[in-house]
Amino acid sequence: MKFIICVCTLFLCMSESGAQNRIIARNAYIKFSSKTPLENIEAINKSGVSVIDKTTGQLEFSVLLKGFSFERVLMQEHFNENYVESDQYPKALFKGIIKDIQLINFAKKGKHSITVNGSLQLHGVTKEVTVKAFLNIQDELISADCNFIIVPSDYNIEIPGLVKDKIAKTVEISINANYR
Amino acid sequence: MSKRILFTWIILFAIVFGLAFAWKEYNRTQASTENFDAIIPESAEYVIEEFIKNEQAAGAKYNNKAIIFKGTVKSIELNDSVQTVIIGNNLQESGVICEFEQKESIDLKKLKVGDSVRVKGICTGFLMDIILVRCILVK
Repeated sequence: MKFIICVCTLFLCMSESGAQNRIIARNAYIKFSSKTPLENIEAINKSGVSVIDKTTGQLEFSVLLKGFSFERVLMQEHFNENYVESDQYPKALFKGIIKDIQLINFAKKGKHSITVNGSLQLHGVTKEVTVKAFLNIQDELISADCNFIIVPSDYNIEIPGLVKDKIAKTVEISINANYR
Repeated sequence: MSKRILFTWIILFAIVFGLAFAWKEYNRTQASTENFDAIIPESAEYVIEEFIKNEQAAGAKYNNKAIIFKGTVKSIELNDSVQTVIIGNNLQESGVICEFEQKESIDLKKLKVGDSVRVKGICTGFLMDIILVRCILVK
């Protein structure tokens, strides 16, 4: 009986420490921008989800493509129906590892420059990407900021000839996530 | 009036009408959430289960549709860029993330964690929680 209690206690402690090693951001802010001489297009999504494992450095980030809000409804409809086909591919998903996570002391306040190597899955295509970011450790939360570029054509996102001069060949992504 | 002149006027009218329609479409704004007919599911937990069991089927059923959820406020985040309330219960980690527009901010400031609320919003899908955008409080 004592053995069973010890095993259960040990299991509970391990589960608890596993949960403490994971920090989660539920309202990550994502913006993408396309700039051309003809038109600047921006879209914002305020409900990305991200999880970081502080021990292993594993980082996952997912965002629902239908959650991107554009200035114009027509742009939003074209984005969902024609470009990213969000009914068929509802999410963009990034999975990666923070390089040298063991060098970061999560118990101490400070700002750290990090590199995350991983893969981005978008529109049914998965590509290896490397992202540089900043991790800001504060008292109550840990925030992460990053900017990177993607090429829509790498993910089989086709821009119709009629509007191709209005949409840039590369799109800048900005992310801010607050983890607890 | 000769047929030629009449035909010219018809073409002119069609062009003007077409341009006016294209301009109206280009500048179309989001319909207000109030005007959408809403699905009122059994509970948020029921919808979460549906997404967990079969995300594609649940997405086809709920995505882009207005849904009204009743729940308890678990957290509130209000600032210049984000107006988000998470509703749910303490038994389940997953809940409903409700993104509100700025015009709701006065009513949102009155909310407290633990309050019971009814929220109507447009479903964009499920990650760790059901996500609703363009939310309004329903009295």
